Amino acid sequence: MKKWAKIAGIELLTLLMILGVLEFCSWSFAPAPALATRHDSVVGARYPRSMDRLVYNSESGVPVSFRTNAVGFRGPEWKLGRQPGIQRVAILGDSFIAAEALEVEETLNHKLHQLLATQGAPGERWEVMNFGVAGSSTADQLALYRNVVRHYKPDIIVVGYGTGTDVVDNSRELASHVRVCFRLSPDGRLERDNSPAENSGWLDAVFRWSRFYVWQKSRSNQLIKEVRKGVQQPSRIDWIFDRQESEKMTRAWKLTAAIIEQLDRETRRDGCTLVVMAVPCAIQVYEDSADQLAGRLSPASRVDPLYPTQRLLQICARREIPCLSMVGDFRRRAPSRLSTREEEWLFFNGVGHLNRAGQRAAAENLFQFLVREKLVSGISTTASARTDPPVQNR
Amino acid sequence: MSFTTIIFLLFLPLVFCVHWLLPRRTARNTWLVAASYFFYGYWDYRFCLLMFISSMVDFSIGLALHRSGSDRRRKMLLVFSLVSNLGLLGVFKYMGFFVESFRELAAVFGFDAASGTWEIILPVGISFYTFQTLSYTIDIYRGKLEPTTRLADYLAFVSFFPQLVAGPIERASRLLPQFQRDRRCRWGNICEGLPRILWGFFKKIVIADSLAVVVQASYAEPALSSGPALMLATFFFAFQIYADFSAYSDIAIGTARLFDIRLMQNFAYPYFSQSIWEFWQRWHISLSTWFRDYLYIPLGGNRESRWRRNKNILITFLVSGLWHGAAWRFVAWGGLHGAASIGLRPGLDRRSQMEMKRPGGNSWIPPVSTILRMVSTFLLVSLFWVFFRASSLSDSLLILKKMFWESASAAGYSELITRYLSGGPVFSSLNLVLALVMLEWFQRHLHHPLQVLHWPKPLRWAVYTATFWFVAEYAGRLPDNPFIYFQF
Repeated sequence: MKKWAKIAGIELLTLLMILGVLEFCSWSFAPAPALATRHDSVVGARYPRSMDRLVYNSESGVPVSFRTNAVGFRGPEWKLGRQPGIQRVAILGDSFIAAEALEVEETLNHKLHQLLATQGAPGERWEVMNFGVAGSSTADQLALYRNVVRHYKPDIIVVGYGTGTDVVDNSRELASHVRVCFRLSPDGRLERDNSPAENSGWLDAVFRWSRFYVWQKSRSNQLIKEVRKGVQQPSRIDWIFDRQESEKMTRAWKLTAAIIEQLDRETRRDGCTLVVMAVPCAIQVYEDSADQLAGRLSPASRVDPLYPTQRLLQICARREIPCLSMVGDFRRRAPSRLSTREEEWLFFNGVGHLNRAGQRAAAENLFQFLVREKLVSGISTTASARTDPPVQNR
Repeated sequence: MSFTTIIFLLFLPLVFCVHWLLPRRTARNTWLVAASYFFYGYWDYRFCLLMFISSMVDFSIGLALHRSGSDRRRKMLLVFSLVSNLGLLGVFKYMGFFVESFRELAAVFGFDAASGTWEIILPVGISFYTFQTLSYTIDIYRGKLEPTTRLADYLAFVSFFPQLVAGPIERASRLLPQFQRDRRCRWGNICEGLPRILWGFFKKIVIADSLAVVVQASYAEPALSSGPALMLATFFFAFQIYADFSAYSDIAIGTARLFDIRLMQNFAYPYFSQSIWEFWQRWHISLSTWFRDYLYIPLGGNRESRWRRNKNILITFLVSGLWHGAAWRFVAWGGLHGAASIGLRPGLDRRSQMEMKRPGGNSWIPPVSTILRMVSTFLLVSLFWVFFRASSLSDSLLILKKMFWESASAAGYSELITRYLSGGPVFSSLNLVLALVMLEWFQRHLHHPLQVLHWPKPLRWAVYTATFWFVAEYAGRLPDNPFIYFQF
């Protein structure tokens, strides 16, 4: 009996040591990136407030100086309310807009400000505000507008719509995690969905207190993703490019349309103009990425890299929301994949976020679009940018 | 198939279970051969054919050697074995190099040698299994080994998947008998093997792949990198190649142990060596002893005059350099090691065998003189690694030039400090190197630092768990890099 008790004690101690080590390693060594977005129950996500530090970015491979203001967004402090003599553009979006891998001077935000200052009407002063946060969905952006952005009284709201992710990120049934969630009521009205996440009760408590639980979950998801990639199984976002929508995807599009329409209603009510900018992803620009996508999806699917952009244009056309598609211009600018000059590519490593050249191209497109839509007075235009729907498939 | 892929994590348990479920030795060996050919053919199925032909040639020669009574005929058979094995290596590994060198030489004398592209694919691990089969025929020729008549045993010896593509290069006289005896599934082997595999994964995934990021950034375009950045990259590369290659050996030795096969120790804490000569007794031991037994000693070894002995050392190192890769920079690398071994050899003879077993002696903090010898040997070895890592001989010289001429570049150091402070790869790489050196120093009396079977169970499992955690964490964080020695 004594012997068995001793064995049981050792086994129990071993188990406790294992759990303790796992928890200790997860707390001490798991990367807690300085730029990890903070969960915010009101606006979904934001960066740590008043941060000013050098942060290594693995995508660009260089340290980037990252500075946030008191509200937790990238840029200087902004004054509340309308500022005399200054017109404001607020750009909302996800990591493509936040441009974590680039210095402020290289971002769309800064480039647009430069264009407005140098090619805008003389005497006009503009302030461009970056409300981009990694992982932000259109639903997050609606919440952000309601609770934060509108208090700064911007003249133009630009929503940087991630064509390769946003429709999935807006949907609770499709996204891996949602921060701010909306749903459509039976009579078609958009309402905030405050129902608790799937994890509840003791699992919720574990999630809150155990770093190891969070760590193993993220590693397991990554492993599943790798295995899927290995066996060429499509990921959730791949289905965005399939013209044969599943029921879930149709519901996600309906929800996305309702969010954009609601955003338009609220911005009009506040006296500012909403502009939707469809930010292209590499699948839409490079043929080989599109071919890889087609390989992952089933042969029966109808893959069309331009499909999400076309859906977005339709949604915006219904309410006459100015919508900018940049795919055509990006395709013209993008060098062949065989080009060894990476700086010519528009995306990091040809597949990631917009790089320096991509941000510059997006800023030029946006500026030209704002001039054409007469939202901004321009003194000159460059030939490269124009609205380009419908875009022909290559 | 690489050890660090998900498919290997499925492959290994399957091969292990079926192997031990099979009742007889022949069936087990046949299963191992099938699994090994699948493992090898996973890269390219055509490689299997090449390995099979090479194996069959030596199997037949081995039997013929044994039957033959005439010395002349035996010699002829050995020459045939050498020509066919080295010929295979020459065609697949060195043909392009020799043709290109000949063309360049012709151009120097004003001749325009006919141009044509040689697109010969280099089969993974050809240098390793060729040397292993060569040892089989040479050992039979020398009368050290009886040839086997069982094809399954012989093919298992040549193609045994854990050590097939990057060693350790086993001698037939050591490994073949292990396939000829009945093996048992022992709990002790599993307890010894699995921690060694885990330690191998730790060194490869956590350390080598982390360091590769910094090294690649500087060595990709040395002309654009500063002298201090190249210095740091060279320092990291010394640890990257060690962690990478010794990791492969550890995984191979651990995996073989699961099948009740004992492979030889391939690394014995080489960076704690106090001379170049000692370094080569601790680094890639299976290759350096192979060259000692089959090249250096037949050349005359150290029984000849001092001049002849030095010549033999130099030849051995030059050939060893060429074995590593078909390029002049590898020859230069081998030559430098040879020259350093000749010039700095006397230091070895003064130290005892005990120090060979436990580098740096028994004390936790060694004497200053020992530390100085270790550091100077490490610096010399690191300097030679430049030739190994650079893309060409001209790049190697450019890197060395930049390292020495720009060693006082303030801008270069300030850039490094910025990178360190940003918490990026430079920061984590330095910490990892420090952790590796500490772990190895305090556990240097063991075959590997996770050999902690004598520790209390809760503590032992805590160590295993922490190591596993790091492997899982870094596996998801870093891109998968193939093992460096696969290219040889």
